Amino acid sequence: MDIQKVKTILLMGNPNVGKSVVFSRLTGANVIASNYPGSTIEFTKGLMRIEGSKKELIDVPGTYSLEPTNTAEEVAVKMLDEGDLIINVIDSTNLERNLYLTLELLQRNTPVVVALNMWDEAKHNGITINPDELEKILGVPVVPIVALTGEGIKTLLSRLKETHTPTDVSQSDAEKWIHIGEIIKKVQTIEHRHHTIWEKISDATVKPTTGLPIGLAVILLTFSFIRFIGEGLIGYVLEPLFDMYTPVVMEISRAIGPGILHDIIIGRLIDGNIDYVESMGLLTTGFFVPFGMVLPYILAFYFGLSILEDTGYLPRLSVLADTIFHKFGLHGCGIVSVFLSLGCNVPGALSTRILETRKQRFISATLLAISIPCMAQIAMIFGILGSYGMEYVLMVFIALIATYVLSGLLLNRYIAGESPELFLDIPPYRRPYGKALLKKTWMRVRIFLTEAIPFVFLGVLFINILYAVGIIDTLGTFFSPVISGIWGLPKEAAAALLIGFLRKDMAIGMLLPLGMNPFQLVIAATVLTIYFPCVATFAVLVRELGIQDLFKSVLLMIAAALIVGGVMRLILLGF
Amino acid sequence: MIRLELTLTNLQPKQKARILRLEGGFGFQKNVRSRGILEGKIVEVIARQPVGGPIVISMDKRNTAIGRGMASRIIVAVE
Repeated sequence: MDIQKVKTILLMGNPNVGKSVVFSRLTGANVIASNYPGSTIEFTKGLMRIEGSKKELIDVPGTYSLEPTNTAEEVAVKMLDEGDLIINVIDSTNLERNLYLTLELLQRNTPVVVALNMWDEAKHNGITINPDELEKILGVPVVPIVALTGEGIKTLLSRLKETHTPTDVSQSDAEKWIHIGEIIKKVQTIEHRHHTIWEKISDATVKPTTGLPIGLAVILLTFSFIRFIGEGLIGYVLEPLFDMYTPVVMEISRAIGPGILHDIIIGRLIDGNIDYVESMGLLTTGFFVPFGMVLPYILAFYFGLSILEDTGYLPRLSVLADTIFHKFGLHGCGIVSVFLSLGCNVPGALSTRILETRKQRFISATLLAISIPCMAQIAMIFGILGSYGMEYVLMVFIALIATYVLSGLLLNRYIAGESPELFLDIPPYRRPYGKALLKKTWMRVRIFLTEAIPFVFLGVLFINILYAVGIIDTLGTFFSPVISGIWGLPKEAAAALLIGFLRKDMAIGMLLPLGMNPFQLVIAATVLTIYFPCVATFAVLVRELGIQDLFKSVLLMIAAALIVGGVMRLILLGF
Repeated sequence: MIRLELTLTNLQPKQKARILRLEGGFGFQKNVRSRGILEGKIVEVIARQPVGGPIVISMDKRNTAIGRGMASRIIVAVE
C-alpha cells in the first residue's frame, strides 16, 4: 500500500500487551495527548514520522474482541473507522488468546500489520513462534519486537508499507477458534519450564493469606513514598524558592500601596508580613497553594501510581479487593477508580466507564464524589491539621472511609440494577519502562497545571470580590443554622464552602484564618470533602451520569454531608 | 453410573482440570472464550478469594480472575 496516503495509524491489541510502551517508542517527545491517559479509557494521540511524512498515531484502549462488553471497548471499536492502518500489538507470551482479535481485525477492511511484542519474554518462557509461518497464514507482515528495548521497531516501521487491505474472509466464531488452534499448532512450540521466582511472587500476591498482608504493605509503602517525596520537595526545593520570592512580592506590595488592588494581588498582610496561606492574594496564596503545597504531592502521587500500574500490581489489588467491593455493588476494579480519584476526582470519575452496568457506574461515581479527597485536598489537610498532630488527620480519613463503606452498603441495597462479577486478566509482573513512566507522570501533572491553576486564580479573585461586596457575610448568616447549628463551625466557614466548588485545596486553606480548634477543623475538612464535588468533577459527572442520575447523586452528597458532619460534631464537640 | 459434573467452583487450589463445556448464553460464551477459556483447555486453580470472592485460575501460564457465578457455569473434569 502507499504509505504516503496514510494519515492515521491505530495501535490496537488486547489489554496489557505493552501497547503504551510501543506508543512511547514510536512517538518520541511529540505527544499531543488530548485526553486523560493511563486510565484505560481516554486514548492518547501522538505524532510519528515515516519516510519523511508525519502520521497521527492513536493508542486505542485495549480490547479482547470487536464486540464490546463495556464503554471502554466501545470506544475502541468506534475508533476503528478513523484509522488508515492498524498496528495490531500482540503479546507473544499469549499468542493464542491474542489471535482472536487479530482474526477479527483481518475481517475489516483496514490494512493490518502484526507486531509480536515481548518477544524476549516469550523466548525466556520457552515459547518459540515462527513469524514467517504466521505471516504466510495471516497474509500480512508479522514483526517480532521488544518495545521495552526498541528491538525490531525499525523493521516494524519499514514493513508498514508491505501490508494491504485484507481480502474478505468471513468466519464464524467457532471457525475462528478452530482456525486459531490450527495456527498455534503450526507456528508455536512450548518447552516446559519451571516456575520462575516472579511467577511464585505473582501467585503469592493473589492468594488471600499472603496477598492481603502484601497488599496492605504495598499501599502503606506507596503512601509513605508519596509523603517522603512530597515533603522532600517542599523542604529542599520549594521553600527555598519561595524564600527568594518573598522579597520580590514585598517590593510589589509596597509599590501598589493599600487599597482594593493590593487586596486582590497581594492580599492582607499579617503583622506586616506575607502569609502565603492566609493572605489570599493572587501572587501570594494563589501562587503558593498550587505550587508550594500541592504540586510536590501531585508529582509524587502520579509517579507512584504509574509504577503500580506499569508493574502490573493493580489487577492483583482488584482481585483481593473484589470481595469487599462486591458488598458495595461494585467489583474489584472499583479500587482502581478509588486510586485514581485520590490523585484527582476527574480521572477517577472517567474511569468508572470500565464498569459494565449503569448501577455500578452510578455507585462508583457517587461514592468517589462523596468521600474521596483528591491529592491536592489531602496535601492541604496534612498542611493545616498536621501541625496539631497526625491523630487529627487520621480522624478525617476514618470519617471518610466510614462514609464510603456505609454509603456503599446502602446504595447497593437501594439502587436497582445488576452488578456483574469480576472477570479480569492478571498480567505477569513487568519491569516498568522509565520513559513511559515519566511520560505518563508528566501528562498527568500537566493536566493539574493547566486545569487547576486557572481555577485557583479564579477562586482567589472571586473570594476577594465577594468579601468586598459583603456577600460572604450574608451567605454566612443565611446558612448559619446548618454551618453553626449542625456542624458547630463559625458562620464564616461559608466562604470556604463556596470556594470549595472551585477548588477544594483552596477551600481548606481558607479555614485556617477562622481561628477554629482542631476538632472543628477536622469536621470542616470532612464536610468540605463530602458536600459537593469541585466544578471540574461536577462537569465530568454531568457527562457520565446524565442530569437525572446526577441530581440523585447530589442529593445523596448533601444528605451525607449533613449526617456525617452532624454525627462528628456530636462526637467531637458535644452539643 | 451417575457422575456429578464438576464446575470450576468445585476445584481447590493446585487442582488441575480440563474444560468440558461452557453453560450459558451466546454472550457469556463469547465473552469467556475471548479470554482464552475454551473447551479442551487445562486449567489450574491458583487461589480462591474468601467469602464468595473470585477464583484465580491459570491457563497457558496466564492468570485470570473470574467471579464464582461465571465459574459455576464452566464445566470441568479433574485431570
